[in-house]
Amino acid sequence: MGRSWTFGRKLALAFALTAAFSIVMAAIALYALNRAVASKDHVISVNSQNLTDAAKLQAAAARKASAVRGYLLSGDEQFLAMETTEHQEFLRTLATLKEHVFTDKGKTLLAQIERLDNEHQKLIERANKLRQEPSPSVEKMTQFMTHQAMPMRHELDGSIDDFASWEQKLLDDGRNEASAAASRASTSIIVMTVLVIAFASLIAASLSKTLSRQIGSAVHEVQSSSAELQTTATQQATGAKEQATALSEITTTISELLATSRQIAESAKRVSQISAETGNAAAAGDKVMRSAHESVFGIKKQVDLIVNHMLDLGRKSQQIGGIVDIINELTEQTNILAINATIEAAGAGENGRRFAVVADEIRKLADRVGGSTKDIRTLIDEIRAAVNSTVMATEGGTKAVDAGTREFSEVTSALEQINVLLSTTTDAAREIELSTKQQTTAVEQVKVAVSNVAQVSKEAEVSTVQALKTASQLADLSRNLSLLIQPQLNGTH
Amino acid sequence: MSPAENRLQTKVAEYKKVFDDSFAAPEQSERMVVEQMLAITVGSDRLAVALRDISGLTLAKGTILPVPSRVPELLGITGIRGVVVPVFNLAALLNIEPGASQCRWLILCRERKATIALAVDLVEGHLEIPADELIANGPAATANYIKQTVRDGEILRGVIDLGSLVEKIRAKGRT
Repeated sequence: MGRSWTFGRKLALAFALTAAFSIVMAAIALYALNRAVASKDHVISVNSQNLTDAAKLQAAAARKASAVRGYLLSGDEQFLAMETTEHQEFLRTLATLKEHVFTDKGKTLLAQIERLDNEHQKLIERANKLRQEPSPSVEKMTQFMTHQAMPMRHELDGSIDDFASWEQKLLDDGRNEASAAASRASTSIIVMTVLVIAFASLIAASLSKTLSRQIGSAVHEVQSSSAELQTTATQQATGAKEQATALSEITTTISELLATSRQIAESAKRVSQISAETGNAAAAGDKVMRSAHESVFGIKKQVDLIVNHMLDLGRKSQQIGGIVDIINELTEQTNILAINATIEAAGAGENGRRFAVVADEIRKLADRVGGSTKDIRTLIDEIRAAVNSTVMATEGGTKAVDAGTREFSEVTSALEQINVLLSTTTDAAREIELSTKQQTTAVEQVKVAVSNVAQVSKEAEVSTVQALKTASQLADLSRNLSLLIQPQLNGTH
Repeated sequence: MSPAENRLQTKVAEYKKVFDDSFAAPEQSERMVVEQMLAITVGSDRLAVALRDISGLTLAKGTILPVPSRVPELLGITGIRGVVVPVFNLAALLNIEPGASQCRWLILCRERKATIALAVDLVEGHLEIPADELIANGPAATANYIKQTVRDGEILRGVIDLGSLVEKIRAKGRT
């Protein structure tokens, strides 16, 4: 029996084994009883009936012989009918016996009886014919009956007697066998009962020994535990006081934690609102940036157009410069001609004076044209410088616009990322808000629970003293239990 | 209208007025006596020559062909209006350090029946100097053929005595 088994399982096993043996014993008793009853029934229903039928055969044969004698003596037809009736009764009884006889010897005897009855019936019919002659001879009939019918009848009666004796013997044997079966059944039941009692006693002893040992061990452990429990209860009493003090401090801390959680929840709510507003602002900024990006793209196209126009203007100013060079050359040549005309006019004396005036005017005009061409040249140079500066500035502007376009794209991308991050931040802030609210609720519950624990701790302090008393009582109880189970161990524990 | 456009319009009006006034001005005889001069640059010196001393002015566009000569100031000869003309370096004749630029202008002088050309760096323009504003130089300057000085705005220009200079060239040619 395993040591880990519980008492209930062990008791259940013992009960189950005892019950199994009881069932086996009951089955054996029932079997033996059935065998005895079957033997008796067989004796009563078969052998007794066969013996009765054998008696019926004997009676039918006797009545038939009586009817034959009556007919032979009187010739009355009534005896003849009786003879036929008795013979039929004889045959029915014989047929019944053939159905209920199972032994070989019985069957042989019945066959012999049937054969002798046939031969005897033939002789009877011959005797009846002798009697039915017009002048029957008594002597002849007596002779026939004495020498032929009577021996045959004696032989038939002997066979029926043998059959009756055989069936009587079978009846006696069956009765004896039934008595022997009943005796064996009684013996088996007695043996099984003794065995069951012995086994039950064995199980009870084993169970008692096992339970005593285990309960004794448990009692010993209970005694040790009671001592430890006393020590522990003492320590718990001290610890319970300290625990009550600590729980008071924890309650104060939880109150502060609760206030902090509420502040965090409020802050998270504000963060969520601000984050949502920032998200809206970022979305608006994103729209503005996209619009600005389109504007900058338009500016870039305009700047490219301006650059082309300025380059065209530079080329045109170069052409103007070429024309101015032509004018300057012509002016210089005109001036030379005017100076030469002045010289020639001076050489012509008084006659060339008027020509000298015209030449002088032409020279002055050439001087003025030269001055104007210088102004034009200066202006053209200024225009070209301005065009170059403008082209460079516009190229710088184009680069700046390109850089601005790239930066706009980066800013747009950054704003999109900011939107995504703000969405994430908003969700996170909401989750923080919800979590903090849940935390606040939980902290409130914890506060209530800690208050309850503090109350329980105070109660536990009281209970610990009571537990100390109970442990002492338990130690006394375990000693008493040990005495009940193992009195011989009284002095040891 | 912008200031620049105003300035241009003013200048146009001024030129028109000057041009119109030239037809309204009286004959030379009634006007004051002026000296016609040519403002030139020789090396780094700003000088002037009288128009009455020269016979013409032209650009040195033709080839100046160097020729062997005892006169070191002779640059060569060139053709002007079908006449072979000797070309002299005016800066060298005046002992002035020549300028960096090439001489573009030729001043033609009549020497008796022949013509000579004086190469100068730059002809700056025409000057009309009242005769009484001509300033006579001292004896030291006379050695350099600069006998008079004229004021051209802020600039003082020495007036080259081309007659003396041509005489010097002729004298060098004889020796």
